[in-house]
Amino acid sequence: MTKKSEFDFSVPHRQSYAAIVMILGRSVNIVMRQLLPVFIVVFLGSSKNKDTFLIYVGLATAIITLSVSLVNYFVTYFYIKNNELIFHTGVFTKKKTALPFDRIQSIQFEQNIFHTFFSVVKLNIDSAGSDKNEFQFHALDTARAKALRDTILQGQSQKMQNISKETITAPPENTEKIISLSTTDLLRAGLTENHIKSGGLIIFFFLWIYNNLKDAGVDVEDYTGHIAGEWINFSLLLSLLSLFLIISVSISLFRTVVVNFNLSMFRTPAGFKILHGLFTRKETSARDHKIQYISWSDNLLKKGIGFYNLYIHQASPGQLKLKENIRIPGIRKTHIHALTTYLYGMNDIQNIPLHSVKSPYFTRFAMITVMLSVVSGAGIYLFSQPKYTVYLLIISLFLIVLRFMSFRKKKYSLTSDMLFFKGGTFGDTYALLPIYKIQAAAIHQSWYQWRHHLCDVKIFTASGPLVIPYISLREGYALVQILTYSAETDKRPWM
Amino acid sequence: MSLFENHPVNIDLLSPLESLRFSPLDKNYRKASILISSLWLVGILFLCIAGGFYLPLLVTFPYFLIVIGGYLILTGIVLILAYASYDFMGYVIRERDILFKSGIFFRSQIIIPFTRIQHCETHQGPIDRWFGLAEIAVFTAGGSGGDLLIPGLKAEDAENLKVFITRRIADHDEEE
Repeated sequence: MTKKSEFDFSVPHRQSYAAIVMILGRSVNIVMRQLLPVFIVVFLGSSKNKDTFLIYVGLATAIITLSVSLVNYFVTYFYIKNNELIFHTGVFTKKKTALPFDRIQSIQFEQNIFHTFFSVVKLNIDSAGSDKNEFQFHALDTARAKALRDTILQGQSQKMQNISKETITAPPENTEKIISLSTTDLLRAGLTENHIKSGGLIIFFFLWIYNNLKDAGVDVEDYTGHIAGEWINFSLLLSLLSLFLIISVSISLFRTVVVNFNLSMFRTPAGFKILHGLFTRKETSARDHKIQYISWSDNLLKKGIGFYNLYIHQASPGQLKLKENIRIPGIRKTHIHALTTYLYGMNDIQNIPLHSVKSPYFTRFAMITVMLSVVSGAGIYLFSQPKYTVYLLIISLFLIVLRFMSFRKKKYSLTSDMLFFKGGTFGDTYALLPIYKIQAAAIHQSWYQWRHHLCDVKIFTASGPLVIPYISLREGYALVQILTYSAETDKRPWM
Repeated sequence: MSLFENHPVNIDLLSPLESLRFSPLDKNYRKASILISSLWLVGILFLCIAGGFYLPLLVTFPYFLIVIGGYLILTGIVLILAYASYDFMGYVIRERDILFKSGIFFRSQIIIPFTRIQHCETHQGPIDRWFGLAEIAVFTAGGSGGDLLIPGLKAEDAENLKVFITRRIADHDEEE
């Protein structure tokens, strides 16, 4: 007997009024990001009227964003008709999207501090289609959201109901906690993150400000040149470097702890469920059949304490969406063994015999790099300062060493139904792909590879491609044949 | 009964990829690609002429000769590639998958099993229409490049192929 919902979804419904605040917050965020360079320029500039200017810009921004948010709120509504969720939106361009219930793959609730305060939830509805068929309600009353979810579930055909219910309401019984990260684990994972990436973000941010200032006509070189002439000395450089390091480490640490706070991973009958987050508590589901492949990696710092970052790559039916990938830091080898046992019934990855890629993967790269650096180095030596030639040679040598390290680690292995990849440069990266999950396979050959009967094999999955470079053409053909044979004959659901 | 059986595969029994005979594209495709390349070259020529108006230096000796020489070399290369690329393209429709090869200097061969095709479309641009051609696009999940575009098919063949592939997808869905 179908339970009668207290909400009549056949008539249009709007989001909660709290959605205006959410949309406003988002709009302000976007506008502020665009206007930040203007504010910096005005703030640094010597205009006498800068206070008035800032007030006017601030006021205009507030009025525009508030109007857009209000209009956006009122033109956005949804209703249900003939087992389809129909969604109207668009301020300037009207958009109507109809999503049949059976295409709905998952319905996820999300609550941050603001949502909790207003007793609303953010509702994400994902479908088996492209990005266009994805709905997001910024704020829906919790009761209305639950009623909508129940109505959709009741309207789905039996086959789909089984799939969706697993995602949305995984039964609390029959779950086993397989990973639990303590705060100490998280701190250690955060401290051993790739700080170069965070550092890169900081450099990018400063370069972005620098470019914006230059575009806005501020004579940046004049300021920096002035400072450089008078202040740059060894101790200042050292202090800046230390500051840079401290900020990089703090950012990585903060990000890791906030996103993964109190992370627990459970094994459910249909897959995995992950709970995490400090300010926004998130619940993420990864169903076994939706997982395309898993990968894990470490770096020089993590190697010392035996930690890995784990990535669960899920299918994204439409355009590739990185958010489908789940990243868990602070994972140990035992966790990976547990995961591979649950998913693929194998825990002896260490004993899989590996095949190396052919040496031209390194020698060809080294040869091209040497040739390019000799030609450009000679040009620089003749037409510019000779010291730049030395820099160029050092960079080229560094790249060649990196390629050699990558070559030494790049290996792969094919078992009866799994493909295993190993790689990395300083650290190690691993990926494990059940071969029936592949979408397509391709053989690529450069002119050089064609002449030497070599090839790259590119394996396409619903969660992005994986490449095995520089193997013999015969090996490549055999590999592609086995992979496609498996995809063509295996009846297991791949998504 | 288990849903899935996993017998070992003897690779020698699989249909070998090395010896596959690829069907060539329609002969008109060579003409169509030469025409498209020529249109691009005309566009570049107009840009060069416009450049001459803005940068009078370009129409003085010896820069004039460099521009003309560069343009002629580019024209030669583009037209040769447009002519020859046809010989390196081909497709095969097998019982369970579709293959397409292309590329002169960077060769590639992609295989997509019918069981993994999400949908397929045919496209026909104005030049295609003129030559009675169409192209077929085959999409897989993930949108990460595992898609396929076969150009230069006879419009009728492209339509038939689309119907064939759509039927294969439907058959597969029913089997599931």
